[in-house]
Amino acid sequence: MAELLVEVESVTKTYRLGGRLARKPPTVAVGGVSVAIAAGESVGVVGESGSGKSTLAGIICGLVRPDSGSVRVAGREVYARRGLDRTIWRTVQMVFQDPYTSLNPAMTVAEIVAEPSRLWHGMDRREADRRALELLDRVGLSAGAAQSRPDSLSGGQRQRASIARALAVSPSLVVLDESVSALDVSVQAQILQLLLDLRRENDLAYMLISHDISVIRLVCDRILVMNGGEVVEELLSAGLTEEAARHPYTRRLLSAVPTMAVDRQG
Amino acid sequence: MTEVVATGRPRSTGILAGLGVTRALALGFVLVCLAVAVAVPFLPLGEPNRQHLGDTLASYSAEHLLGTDQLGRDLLARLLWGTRTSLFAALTAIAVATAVGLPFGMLAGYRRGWVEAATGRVADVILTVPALVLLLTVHAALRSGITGQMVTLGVVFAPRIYRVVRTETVKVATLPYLMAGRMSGCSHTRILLRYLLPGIRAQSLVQVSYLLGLSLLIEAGISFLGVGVESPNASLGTMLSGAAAMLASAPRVVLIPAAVLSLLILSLNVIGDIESKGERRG
Repeated sequence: MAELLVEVESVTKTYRLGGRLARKPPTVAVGGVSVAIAAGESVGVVGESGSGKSTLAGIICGLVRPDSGSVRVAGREVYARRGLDRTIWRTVQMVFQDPYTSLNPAMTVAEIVAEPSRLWHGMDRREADRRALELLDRVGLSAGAAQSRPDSLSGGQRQRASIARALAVSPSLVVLDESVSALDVSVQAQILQLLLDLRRENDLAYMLISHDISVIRLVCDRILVMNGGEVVEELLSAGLTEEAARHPYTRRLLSAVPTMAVDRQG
Repeated sequence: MTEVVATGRPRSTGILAGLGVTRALALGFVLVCLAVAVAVPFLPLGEPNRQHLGDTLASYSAEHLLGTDQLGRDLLARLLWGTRTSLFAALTAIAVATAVGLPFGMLAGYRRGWVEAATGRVADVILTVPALVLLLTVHAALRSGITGQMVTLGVVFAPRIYRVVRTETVKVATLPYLMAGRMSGCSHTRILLRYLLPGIRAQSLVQVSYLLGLSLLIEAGISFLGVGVESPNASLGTMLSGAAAMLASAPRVVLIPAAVLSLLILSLNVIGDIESKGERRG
């Protein structure tokens, strides 16, 4: 088995809505989930809204402190002390869901993408700028787009910029939290193709979160099905059919995927 | 669909985009007043405090372009020097209010928790103090002059800036791009300066612009009462108090400084409008 990048052991996160004194019972966002992601692996997490997938992503990325359980990234405990081990961001990066709020509107795209090189890798400005332009070129953004601010870019362009920003850190794992869900289907397909290409080139591991199982099937080797804050089933993407799924929830998900029956005879 | 909306969105080209005539005039007037305030010592004006008692309430002439006041002082010189004094006094108050309110507001909105609780309580306490009463007390106790009064006013205004800044910071702080910045390796300080500050600038400037107008009004008010700028020095407030009795006989002496003061305050409020429109569009 390849080296484990991320080891999540029985993490739990509950949210109390309406403050500590509210009489409502706390909502269990993630209840006792364990996940392991190996280097270079591509794992998909599928589930409907409220199934805890985004919370799980936040926990893995060091953005949400779990109530219990442990998270190790590259062998280091993420939430060991009261603070957070920031160095995990050298290993794990995230591309957020909403392309309109995940880039600093006050910086140019090139500045945003150059920042990780300077801050994590200690490059000087010129070196970092050159690398930013290379990365932006790789994700399909022109030099013109690089010099503009995010508000003049389309959703697809912004998501490409976000991917370039994450790659600038040279991470081992990129967590994509519904990163293509807000995009047009045609743009979605382009971005997914980009993700597949980048993975081949950079030996990246992905954790792709989506409510759309067809998106996940395209990119991921392994699929975790979440429902009600728990991983209810784990499947291999290859040769996945409705019959292969044992859990009724997974079956429902698979049967909900529209299939196109093309009649080539006429 | 998102795609289409995004590309169709016009690029904002800064503060002057879509600036109407009214707003252009307001901005122009404030800028002219600021320019005059800075340039006044270099202008070929008469001594603003020299009295010509034989030539009181003189009308417009080549020697006195706006005439003279009730003590025969050149009205134009007094108006320009008075605008300078009033604007600088108001700017002092705003500088103090911003220097205190902005950093505490940003910290409170960013860190939340006990920082917000502690600074928030202090702000609440200061807000309960009526500005005018405090200014009268400070004047009576310290006699620190207009600068002292304006620093005091700045402290009284600090909670207002603090509150706006804190609210805006809380709003911006939940946006994912701050998380992305943290993951890019930004320290908290860098996040505050390069990510949060630009995001809260527009709304904070609205408040600053409004408070600047209010400071001008308060300066005029306390100078009128004799607890701000001291006679014979000119400020828009002292010019009004000295000439108030002339309203019937020589309305010009009152109305000109009053008009400048009103226009300045009006313009500052209109500029605040531009800023908030810019925010909504952005």
